[in-house]
Amino acid sequence: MKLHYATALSLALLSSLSYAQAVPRGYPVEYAGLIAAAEKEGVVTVYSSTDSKSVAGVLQGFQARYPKIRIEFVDQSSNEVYTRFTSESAAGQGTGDIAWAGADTAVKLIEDGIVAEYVSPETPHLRPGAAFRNAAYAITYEPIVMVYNRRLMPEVDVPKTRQDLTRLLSQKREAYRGKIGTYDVERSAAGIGFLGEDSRAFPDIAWPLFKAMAQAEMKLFTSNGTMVERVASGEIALAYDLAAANVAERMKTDATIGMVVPCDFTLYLTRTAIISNKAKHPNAAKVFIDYLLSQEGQQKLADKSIGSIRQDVQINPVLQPAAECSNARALTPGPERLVVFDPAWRVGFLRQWKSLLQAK
Amino acid sequence: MSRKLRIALILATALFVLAPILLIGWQSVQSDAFFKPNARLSLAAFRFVLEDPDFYSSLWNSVQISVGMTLIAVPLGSLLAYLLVRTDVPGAQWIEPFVLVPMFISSLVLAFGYVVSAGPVGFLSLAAKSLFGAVPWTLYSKPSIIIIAGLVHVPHVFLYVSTALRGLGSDVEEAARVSGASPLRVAMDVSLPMVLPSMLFCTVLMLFLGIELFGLPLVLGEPQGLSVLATYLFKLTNLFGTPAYHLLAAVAMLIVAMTLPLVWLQRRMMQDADRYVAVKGKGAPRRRLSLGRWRWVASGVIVAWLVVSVVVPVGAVVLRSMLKTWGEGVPLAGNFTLQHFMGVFEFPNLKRGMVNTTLLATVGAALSVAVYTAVNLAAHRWRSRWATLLDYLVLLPRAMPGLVAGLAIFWLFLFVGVLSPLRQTLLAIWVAYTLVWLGYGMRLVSGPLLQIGPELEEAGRVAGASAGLVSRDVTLPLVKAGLFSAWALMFITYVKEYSTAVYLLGPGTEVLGSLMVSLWDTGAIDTIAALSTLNIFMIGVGVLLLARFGKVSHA
Repeated sequence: MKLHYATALSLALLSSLSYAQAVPRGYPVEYAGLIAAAEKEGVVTVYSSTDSKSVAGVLQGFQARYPKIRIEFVDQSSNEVYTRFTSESAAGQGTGDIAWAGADTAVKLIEDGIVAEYVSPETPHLRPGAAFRNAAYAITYEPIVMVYNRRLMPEVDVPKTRQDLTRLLSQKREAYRGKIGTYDVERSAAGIGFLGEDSRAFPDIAWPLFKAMAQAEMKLFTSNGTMVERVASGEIALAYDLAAANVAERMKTDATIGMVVPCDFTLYLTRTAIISNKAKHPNAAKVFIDYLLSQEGQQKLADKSIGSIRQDVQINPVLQPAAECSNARALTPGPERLVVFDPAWRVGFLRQWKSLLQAK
Repeated sequence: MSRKLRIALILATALFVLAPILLIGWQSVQSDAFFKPNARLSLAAFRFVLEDPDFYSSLWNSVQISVGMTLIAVPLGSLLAYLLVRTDVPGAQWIEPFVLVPMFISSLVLAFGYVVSAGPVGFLSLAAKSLFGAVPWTLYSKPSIIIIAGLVHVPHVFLYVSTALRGLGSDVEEAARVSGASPLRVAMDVSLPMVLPSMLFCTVLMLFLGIELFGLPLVLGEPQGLSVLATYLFKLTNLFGTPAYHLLAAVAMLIVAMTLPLVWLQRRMMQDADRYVAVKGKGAPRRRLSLGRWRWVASGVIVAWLVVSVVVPVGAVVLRSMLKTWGEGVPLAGNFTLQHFMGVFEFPNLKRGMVNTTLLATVGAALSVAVYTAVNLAAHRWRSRWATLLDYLVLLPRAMPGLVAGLAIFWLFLFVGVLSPLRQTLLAIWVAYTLVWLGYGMRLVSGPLLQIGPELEEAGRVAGASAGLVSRDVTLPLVKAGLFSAWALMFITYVKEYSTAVYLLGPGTEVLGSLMVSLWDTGAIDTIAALSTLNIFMIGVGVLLLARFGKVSHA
């Protein structure tokens, strides 16, 4: 381990001694031309739904490696990223260079015809499905988890799978009445994304669970943070289907919070980046995306508990499902992401969801 | 002010106000985003909204909350203003600055403060539970939202009414007191009726604010699934996966349409504005009214209000910012930490956000007040259709929900060629804020203006001064205190505001409010609590400075 750090340190020293334009290891020689063009552009504008706190490290890393390229980072919700990108594109005044949001938003932008193609040299190192149509690149690979309060839930109650949770809620409904929380799928894009995918992927597991949660009078929320806070305080005992990153960060200091990476199947959110075809700084955008996908960039994201789209990165161990739980279902960029924009599917899903809430 | 200049100013205001509204109006009758090639003229958006039962239930909730909170805030705020400004209630100088504190804090954070203190497992709730065996209140309910919204909006009313009360001579009050009226009687029958215009403005503004309420119902209504108009709009952005702009626009137009009768009503009630002239040619001494033995009762009332609407939520946020975790069965001891404050400094944009917020709140707010004063003077004591037009115009921008106003302004800066170079600058944000808060600022300035006796201005005219000179040398100096508190209110508003500029905010133009909301979405509540605590601390210092400065300026 020590040796590892020492090499890393000397490598960093070496690279800082050489020219900033040094082509990263394993990249084609022509990449030097791209870096030169990017440095000439001098700036890259990123609209992102990943919060600036989680990306602080990776941005600093990029800045250290490419001091001549300034990053203009705007963090907003996926919806706002979409509005901003499409409006700016329609106004023809140039847009942000990169949109980095949910995979569904990225694929929708491709469908809207405002995305540029790019083949990243990092592609071979990524998990399968990370790249789509040489345009969208999944940057993260974050498990969707259950979060629970260790004080309130006895060890025997803690579910390992969705079926466990369904069973628990039917056996101990009184104890958990009003104590389960999840996203309000009507008002939260993340919510309909995660719970909707549950219902499509494994309807026989998802719908009985949703029904059991409705019968236990679950509480509905619109943001990850409010749910985690309420789990920590004990207002609710368990929250279902949350992205793990900020929960894992909080667990570093707050011993109250426990996390379950469900074993029956694990859903993975992949925040996905695309480059605008009207970008003013297309080369800087390419260099930035390559850095995000590089081992160094991914490690800096992983240091903030963001799961990695590469397998050669040290991730926070709490994000790792148990070895026997290998049934991964990743929301990677692809045509199937467009289904959430299909009104027929949405109306059907929401109707079924609401009927559960009303039936109780 | 010459007639031509007046008309020019009013026309400029009209253009400024109507551009975003017309754009939203246009969007509301499209079948898709207006800039998309497949957008057609269509009434489908209105049909959808008017057939959606959720719209009606949200509207009904909004109306109840809005009326309820107005009924609490206006009387309480006026009473507080009367006690602190006109009477010898003990400790007034010390209490007054703190009355404004709830205004400074983002409503999301304030609501979160109530969750931490009075929620199902809040500190106070747990204390009450150990005393009574059960928590005697439910925070997550409509009545709680109404009461809390009412209490935390008291400062808005206080600012308006106290400004008006300060301009009042104490001769009439003393006359009433000498004739044997009790202090309460004086307040109800003499002082407060004199400031009726300000109170009426407040009432209308409170109703508007109530309709717009977002943070409190979001945090406190969420667990019960309580929907209000602002959270209904939130749902519309999510209904089809991508924001349904035409539906948002249709709801905004419906709200705008509903506000017009309110403005009309207020105008009817205000027809006889001359009745409220209080600053007359003859100077009247201003003395504080003695409350006698009621002094301590009055200060008890004030302190009780302060505890419920300031100490409890703010204390909870401050406490939360220093805790690793909290909740039922968690001892405070051993859980204290200062690391959340370290987290605040990890933000790359924090410094820029603070600088920008400070700039907007100080210089920006002052410039906005200058604009509002100019527009106000354009219509001041002018019986003309133009002035009537202005009355209807100024409240329109605020009638649009923040979310929609933000979109409209973003699109204007994007699609209108002359504006687009400004899009990525602080100036664009300033323009957006000035526009959206036009109604508030105008009212703040116009209240004191109406109190100036026309004979003062006429005296200037008779002595041969031009209209402009009268404004500069007579009217403006007389409303100095009013302008000062207008600036204070705009300062506060701009510190908190972000939603209007949400699409304009970019690299270099971040403000604290937007940082806070992006944190809220992603869940770093530790950091939000720490950031809010720092914010409260800075504002506290500002308020104390203001109090000192204010005392000097009133002396």
